[in-house]
Amino acid sequence: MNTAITHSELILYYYNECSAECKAFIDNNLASNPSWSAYLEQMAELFHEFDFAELPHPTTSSIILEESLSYLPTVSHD
Amino acid sequence: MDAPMITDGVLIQRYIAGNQAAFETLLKRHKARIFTSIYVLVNDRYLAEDIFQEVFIKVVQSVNAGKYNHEDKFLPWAMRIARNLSIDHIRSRKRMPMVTDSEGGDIFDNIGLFEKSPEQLRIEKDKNAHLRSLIWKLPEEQREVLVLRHYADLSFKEIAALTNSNLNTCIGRMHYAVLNLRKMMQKNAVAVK
Repeated sequence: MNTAITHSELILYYYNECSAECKAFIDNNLASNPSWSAYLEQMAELFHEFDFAELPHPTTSSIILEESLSYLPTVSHD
Repeated sequence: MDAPMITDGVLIQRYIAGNQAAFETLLKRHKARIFTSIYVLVNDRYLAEDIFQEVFIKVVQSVNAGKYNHEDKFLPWAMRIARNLSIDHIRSRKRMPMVTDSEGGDIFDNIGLFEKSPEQLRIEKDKNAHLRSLIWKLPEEQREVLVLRHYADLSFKEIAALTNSNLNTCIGRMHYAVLNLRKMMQKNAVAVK
């Protein structure tokens, strides 16, 4: 494998989307390439900071569930 | 041993067959990812609530019209709807008047999180608002890739397909988004240890 690893490959590696060959190559050479590990650490730190989640208001979810229910056949109890 | 997770495709089949609980599971599974993505994309909670509702109403309508043929690719499909609606709304900015609490804050931000103390809520709210504002300062293409990868959890291939872009273009945008956010964080003296 070509020894030149790009930022694109590091990004794919970070997100576990690179090829098995590329992953193995980075895993095996990470310790001897401080610039790679620095880049990956920067990404991890940044995304740790930006790791938040928001939820919709319960009323919004209720409206959606009511809408989804309205399409279902009515159960007859006769 | 954990039970295997029921796939999105199976949940949709069960819903079509009359199982409302299956739809509830689908909504519960994806609501945080989809809502957070919309919220970060439009940076307006009211608009995000409207768009989120619109997305799932379209989902319900499409599924019941027999138009869902994406099997287990529910999230990319729903995010495509969310992304298109968000872009439309950003462009037209049909904004509802904001309802505020006694301190001028957005009342929606105070609802539904009662397990946290008011102080914790305030700190979290301020921090998230600050982070969203930084993301909002990114160029649109970078912001979009960042949101779709980080918050919606789509792969770069899925993002490329959704945005009609080249895979390398998407990854390049992510690289610049990371660089720009780091610069902004440093400039704003937000601690990135």
